[in-house]
Amino acid sequence: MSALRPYDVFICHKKSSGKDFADHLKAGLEELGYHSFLDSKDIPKMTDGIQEWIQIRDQAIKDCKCFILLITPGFQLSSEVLKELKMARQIGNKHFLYFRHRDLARKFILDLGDEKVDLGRQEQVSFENKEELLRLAHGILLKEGHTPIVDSQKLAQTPHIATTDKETKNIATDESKTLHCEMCSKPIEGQPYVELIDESYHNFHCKECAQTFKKFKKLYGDDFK
Amino acid sequence: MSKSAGKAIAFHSYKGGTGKTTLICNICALIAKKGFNVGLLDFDLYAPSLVAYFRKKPSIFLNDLLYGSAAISDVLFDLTEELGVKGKFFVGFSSPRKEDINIIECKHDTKWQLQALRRFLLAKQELFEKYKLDYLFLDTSPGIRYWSINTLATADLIFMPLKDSDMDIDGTRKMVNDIYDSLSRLGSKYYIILNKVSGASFTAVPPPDEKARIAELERIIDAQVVGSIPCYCDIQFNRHEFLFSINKPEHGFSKRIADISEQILAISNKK
Repeated sequence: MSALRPYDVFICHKKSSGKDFADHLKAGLEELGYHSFLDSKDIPKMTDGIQEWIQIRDQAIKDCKCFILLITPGFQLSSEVLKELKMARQIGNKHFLYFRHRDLARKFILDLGDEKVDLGRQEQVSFENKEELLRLAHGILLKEGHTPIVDSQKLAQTPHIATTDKETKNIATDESKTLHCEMCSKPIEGQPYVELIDESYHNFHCKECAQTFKKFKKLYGDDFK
Repeated sequence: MSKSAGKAIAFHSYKGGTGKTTLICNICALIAKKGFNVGLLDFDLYAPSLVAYFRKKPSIFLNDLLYGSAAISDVLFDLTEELGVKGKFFVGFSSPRKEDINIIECKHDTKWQLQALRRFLLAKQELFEKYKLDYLFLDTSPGIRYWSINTLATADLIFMPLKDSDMDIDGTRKMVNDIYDSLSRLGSKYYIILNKVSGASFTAVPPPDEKARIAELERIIDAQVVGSIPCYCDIQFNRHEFLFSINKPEHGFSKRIADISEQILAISNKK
């Protein structure tokens, strides 16, 4: 992905308890086409000093369309987590997703200085493990209309995305070919609506086609191809 | 009128003879009369009846669209002026010719069936986008057959006309378990319309004992009943009942249809 491309998702987490979740989420979302910011991965190690580190981090918060807060043990004690959330809320124009580890209580009141945020009043999604977190995050991003940009080169390089599967051959790896909706067969102009169904990626013209495809899959099983 | 996207609504039943076609035609006409743009397609491809109901002699059918030899614009009949309704009312007929039914039934492989399905989906998109339909009604074949399942999978809402008989109830309950429940997990909604109720009151609103039976059926079948219609002899034995809902609005049948139509509008957020 180009470094100039703004981030779709900012992942805010506490390192001591949320690093594994954040790493898995970042890797998974990137594979799915969402350009995701995670400080430990996206700020170059050669970065010169704390000011530059903050500058890169703040720019990512400004640019992102979706701010994901991972609610893991002690997250509310991390000054960086609170700073990032405060800044994102002040900038606004973002979609906030609060993912809470299932072991934790729902209610947290965060003191952000100029405001107190009662997380118990925010819509939260609970998760148990990193796989579930990724699945839920992907589902919500799609549902909320955050369409991923599928990087064809990346798809081809990613082993667990089954580009050899006949079902996924329609994902554009050859730009000379027009991408067609796998449900209605209409040529897709612009970004496809991509959904992960039965462990394969599928391109659709619109959300409705994806939904119809899932219905047929449900009714006919593997006979529907 | 709402600007929300159009809805596809299928009428389906376990058995034939539940009054599916009479109900769907009357509801469509009434909704068009209210000013909504309505399309009605005869997807009872195995036993088409809209040609006889509307007494039309089309030369191009939905079958031709499925074969790929006609566009949806060739198939549609615009009945707006003829019926004097405020919204647009288009009808697409399927072919009652034995050869055409035979072709749909058994002369095609899976690949062809899938192509035909795609042609239908493209036509459906065109109906909403180009013809600005608020509602696309799909009259389906009864039972669990290839094209009735396809039609159900493409619908947002499913209505099941049902006679209050053990056979109908058992079959409908089975369909809820086998099909509707799966579809509802992916966003479809399904409802029952109790039809041809024997001994029911002819009042515009069901009396308490009819309501008790409705509650019982809702429990047995696990689906909401959106309306019940008594068995009217003048409709049941009419040689050609034709759109009572708009032609005889004072008739008890029409009043019950009006109530169901209002519920359909409410369910689909068009009210």
